[in-house]
Formats: sequence, structure tokens, C-alpha cells
Amino acid sequence: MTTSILTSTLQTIKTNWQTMSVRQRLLKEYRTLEHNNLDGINPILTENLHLLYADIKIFDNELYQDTYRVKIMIPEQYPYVSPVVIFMKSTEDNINTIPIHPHIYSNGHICLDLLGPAWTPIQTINSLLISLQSILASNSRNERPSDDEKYVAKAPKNPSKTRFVYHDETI
Amino acid sequence: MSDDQSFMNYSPDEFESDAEFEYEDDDEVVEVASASQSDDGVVDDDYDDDEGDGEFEEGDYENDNAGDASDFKQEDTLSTKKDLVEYKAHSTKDLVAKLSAQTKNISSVLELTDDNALTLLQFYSWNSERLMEEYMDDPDRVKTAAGVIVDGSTKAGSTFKKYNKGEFMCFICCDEKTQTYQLSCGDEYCLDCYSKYIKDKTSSGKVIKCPNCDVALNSQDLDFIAGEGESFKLIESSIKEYVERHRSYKWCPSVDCPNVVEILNFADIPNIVSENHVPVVTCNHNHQFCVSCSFENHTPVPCGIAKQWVTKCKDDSETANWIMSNTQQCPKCDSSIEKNGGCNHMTCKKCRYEFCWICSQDWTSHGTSYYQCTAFRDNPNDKAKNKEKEELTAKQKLRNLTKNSLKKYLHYYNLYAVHESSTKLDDKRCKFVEEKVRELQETSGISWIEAQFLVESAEALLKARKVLKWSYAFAYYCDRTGLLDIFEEVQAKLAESVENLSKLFEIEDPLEIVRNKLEFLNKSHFLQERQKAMISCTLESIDYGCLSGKD
Ligand SMILES: [Zn+2]
Ligand SMILES: [Zn+2]
Ligand SMILES: [Zn+2]
Ligand SMILES: [Zn+2]
Ligand SMILES: [Zn+2]
Ligand SMILES: [Zn+2]
Repeated sequence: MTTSILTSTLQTIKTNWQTMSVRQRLLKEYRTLEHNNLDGINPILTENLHLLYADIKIFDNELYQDTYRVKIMIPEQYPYVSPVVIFMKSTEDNINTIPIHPHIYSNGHICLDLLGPAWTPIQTINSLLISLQSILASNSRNERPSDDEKYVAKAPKNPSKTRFVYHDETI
Repeated sequence: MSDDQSFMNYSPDEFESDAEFEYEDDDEVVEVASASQSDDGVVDDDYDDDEGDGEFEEGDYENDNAGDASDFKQEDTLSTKKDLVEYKAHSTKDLVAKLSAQTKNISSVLELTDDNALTLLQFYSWNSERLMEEYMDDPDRVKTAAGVIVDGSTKAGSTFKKYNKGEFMCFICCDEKTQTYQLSCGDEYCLDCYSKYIKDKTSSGKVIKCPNCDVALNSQDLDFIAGEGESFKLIESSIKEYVERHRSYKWCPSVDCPNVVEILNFADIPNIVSENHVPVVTCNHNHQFCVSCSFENHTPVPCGIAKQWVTKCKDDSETANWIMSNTQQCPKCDSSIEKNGGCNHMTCKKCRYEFCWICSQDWTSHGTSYYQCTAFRDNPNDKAKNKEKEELTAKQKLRNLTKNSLKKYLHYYNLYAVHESSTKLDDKRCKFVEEKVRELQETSGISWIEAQFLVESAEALLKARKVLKWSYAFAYYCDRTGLLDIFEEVQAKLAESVENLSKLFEIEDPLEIVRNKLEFLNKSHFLQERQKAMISCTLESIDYGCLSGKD
């Protein structure tokens, strides 16, 4: 390839960089989410393109009898960086528990490598929700992370500010 | 959910004000790594295969291409030879050369292209021995794991493709694109997406893989996607990985300093530290630092105490800063007084009482010189007052105790901080003066050799100021005994000499400076003597058990 083509290619990248938005990708993902009807996953879209919720139900695991809710925040750099996902409660909608799991803190923060270094732009909100459902479904340990108290006391509001160490991928 | 609607323009920066909390911090990770560290300082944490250790010494396969690194050095700060660090100082360039040599070696031994050898080395965190071992065992498995295309596979190399509008829909951005890039795995995305995908990854020093599978992007891919030089960025950041992997390599801790020091007698460092000597090295930019603490040269304070002090200052800095930058009560009339400058000579606006900000005592007890306020002593008046109030509840006593220990800490912290900021002023001043004399060299006939005295004096001043500064941290952790009184006398003398030489640097006229050459030389010499006295006095105090290490 000649240098002139390379230069023009780079130029295109640079101009597109500023104008490109995540809109198109998100709209497509939301369409898929609405039509997919995943078992036990109920997405709740909002007027804000960068914010949605999802209610998750787990089947065949007596540890998780309730419905759980995650709040999903989509950063501007999505899908090149992962969404920020937190479990939350909502008294209004009768969602009263943060699921107990060795990788889920009592403030709802999740220690999952998929939300950090293992994220790639090929993943979607859809695939992420399925992963969350499956880490709950496959868990048998009725416990919080060992450092829950220490972490929750000092944790930043945004879990992406936390540098988790993903030591145990088997759970 | 109404409160969440305020989240309209979410971006991660919105949380910037939050305190950053590290769930498991670097130190802990390093600790884990050090548990399985082998003798030559190579960290061995990523692989749990324990056979064949030492079968390949890394050095056997490396050309020592870093020959332009400065030669074996020893520091003159401390006494005997066996206490010293032996080391080589490297620049980033030296290390890039070293890594290139290592890559070339691997490519010729394993008969690979340089690109593939580089990917494998990055994947193996620059552990050549392990790579060779496992490669000889099962080359295909190693290549597949690292994402290097196995020879003879039917898959083609990477291709750049062009489409007409509407022909290609990129899976990542969900947009129709005309320019795409396809890796040998067949996964194809638009160039924009590839470019964004690798943007933050080149600084990691780790192998960058296809967004969808394990195939690695090699340097040609990176250069094509992000422009010439992108793969070099990855090599440069590989140095980080390399230095982290080899515990005998240390980054210079000075801000933005790109230099590295290679410790040759790495195994001796714990001994040096346990003998209360500071393992000091000098980087290629002439920064001195302790390789055990990765902190500035903290001679004469032993490493353990230095770490304790630095942590304490970090933890307490808010309290200390608040108290020191805010009001204090006049010891006489109790009206509150604000400190409005750097000077510690305070005068109460209400009753005109003059006192010292640091020790709250009558200013006249200090004489006319500031630097005599080096002693923190229990105020005898305070003791008498305490006796009067023996009915103090336990709680109040405790509160008084913390107040007193806080007072002691603030006293030493303030002195430490004063000299820290003075170091910065000295540094500026010295550079300014050196500049002046350089100008003079050009206009008059003064030779470079003749002007060297100024450089030497400046260096002596900065060194001694640092020793003085750290001696306050030392004093904080000492029990008050007769020996500490001697220590503080030596300290006051050093402080005096420091200020004297510092004053000489206030001369502005270059000709006047040159005329004062002898004065500069004398004062620096005197200062160096007092600095030596301070260091040996410190070591003696430790020997006599003066250093309790207690807050
Ligand atoms: Zn794309
Ligand atoms: Zn692929
Ligand atoms: Zn340096
Ligand atoms: Zn040290
Ligand atoms: Zn007063
Ligand atoms: Zn004083």
C-alpha cells in the first residue's frame, strides 16, 4: 500500500473520530434487547440513551429466589470501554435485595473481569446480562466478598474507578 | 427512578471527585509476586510449572546490548564497601535496545519472524527461558495461546479492504463503512473501530488480541491501523512490563523521569537495609533515590523509619495542613491568630505577644535566628497545669495525650516541610546562578573549569538540605535522651551551615559570584563536614538505641 493511501486513511479516521457517536450501535442493541425476550431478563429502557435497567430472575438456584435489578450506565466511549453495571434496590418496585455472591459487594458493585480488562467491543449489553445471570445461576456459595466491609466503606460511587483484582475466575 | 434521570450526560469523568479506592493495591500484588521470586530477581509468578528452573539463564541468550549505559557505580554517601549498591543506570533507549536484542535472539533461536518473536515475548512477559522451554516442548500450543498464526495453517495474513457504500456493515459500530481491516482469523471490522480498540491498549505493553478471538495483532497490524510508530509505542510500554518483571530493575521515582537502574547485587539489598544503610543510586538524569523504598534519597534515616514517616505524613497531611494553614490561639490571650506567611515569628494583634508558631513559646527565647527552633520539648508549664487538674477524666487525659503527640508531630512535620520547600527554592536559585555564570563565560574569559565550583557548591547545598530535612523525621522517632540533645546540636549546626551557603546563592552579580569563589568553596566544604557529622551522629544514635520508631 502506498503512503498516500495510508495518509488519506489516517485522515478519515481522524475526522470520523470526532463525529462518530455510539447512537447507532445503541439503537441497534436496544432493538435486539426488546425483541429478544430472554428468559428471566427484563430490560427497562429510559429516555436517556446512556442509561437503562434490567430485572434479572434466576431459575433452579435456591440462593436466588428474588428478582434483582441492575443499573447499566453507558459511557461515551462505549463500546470500546465497558458499561458500568451496579446491582440496586428499588422499594418502589419491590426489589429489596442485592444478590449475595462472592463477587458482588453489598453496595451492588460487581467484581467481574468482563466489566474491566476482559471487555471487548464485540460484547453487548445483551451478552453482558446473560453473563450476569449465569454467574448467579452457577454460584453455590452464600457469601459476600471477604473484603466487603472494607470495600463498601471506602468504595467510590463509580465502580469503574476501582481496580479490582480478578483472582478467581471459577466462581 | 426519578433521581436517576439526572444522569443524562453520563461520562466516567463525572465521578472524578470521588476518592479513588483500590480494592487490592499494587503493593499487595507485588507481595504475592515476591513470594516466588527467584534468585536472579526475575519474578516467577505467572507460571506454576516448577520443573526446569534455571535450565536457561536469561543472560545466556541476551546480547548485552546496553553497553552505552553508564558503567558500574558506587555511591560515596556511606561508609564501607560491602554496604553499597552496585548498579548500572539505563535510559529508556538502552532498554529498547535490550528488548530488541532479546527479540532478535528469540527469533533466530526459534526460527520465527521478529514480529512473531516479539508477540511471544510480550505474551510471556519477557521471560525468555520459560518461552523457550515451553516452545521446544510444544510450539503449536505456545503459538496458539499467544495468538501467533501456526505455520502451514490455511489462513491468510491480515488484509485491508475497501467497499462501496452499503456493502459492509461493521458489527462494532453498527455503521456502514467503506474501509475495513481483516485479521488472519477472518474477523473483520472497520478501520475506525480497530483504531479505537487499540488506542488505549498500546500503553499496556501486553499482546493486543482480536476483539473476537485470540489472534494477536502484530506490529505490522498496529502500524497499519494507527500509523507508523504505533508498534514502537507497544515496545516502549513493554519496558514497563520488563522492569516490573525483573525485580533487580527499578524506575527512577522522580516525576516524569524515564530512567531505570539495574541493581547488580540485588541479593545484598536486604542486608544493606537491615544494617540501617540507605541503598542509594543515581539515575541517568542525576536523581538520587533509595532502591528499597523507591523514594528520594532519605539518608540518614533508615528505610523502615522513612517509610513510616512518609506514610504518616500522607495519612496526617490533611490534619497537619489544616492546622498549619489555619488559625492558632495566642498562648497569652487566647484570641485566634491567622498565619499569613512563611515566617514562624508570630505577633498577636490583640496583646502584641510575640511567639514562635512551631513551639508556641516566647519568640525571645529563640534569639534572633529561626533555625534554633529545632527542639520539641514538653512544655514545663503544661506539666504544671496538668498537675493542677488531676481530676481530669480519663477521656480528657487521652485527648490531651493525642493533642500533645499531634503537637510533637506538627513540630517536626513543619520543619521537614519547611526544608522541603526550601529545597525547591534552592534548586531554582542554583539553576538561576549557574545560568548567570554561563552567560558570563560567554562574555568574559572565564573557563568552564573555573566555574565548576558553582555546580559543586549547588550540589553540596541540595544534598545537605535533604539530609537536614530527613534528620527531622529521624528526630521525631527518637526517645528524648541526652543523646538526642547532642543530635539536635549537630542538627542545628548543619541547619546553620545550610542557610549560610544558601545565602551565598543570593548574590546576583556574576562577577561578584566569581569573586566569592573561595567563600563558596569554604562554605561547601564546611557544610559537607557537618553533613558527615550529622550522618555519623544518626548512626550512633541508632546504635545506642535512641531510635524507638514510636509515634
Ligand atoms: Zn466499526
Ligand atoms: Zn479474530
Ligand atoms: Zn531520574
Ligand atoms: Zn529506603
Ligand atoms: Zn494575644
Ligand atoms: Zn520555636
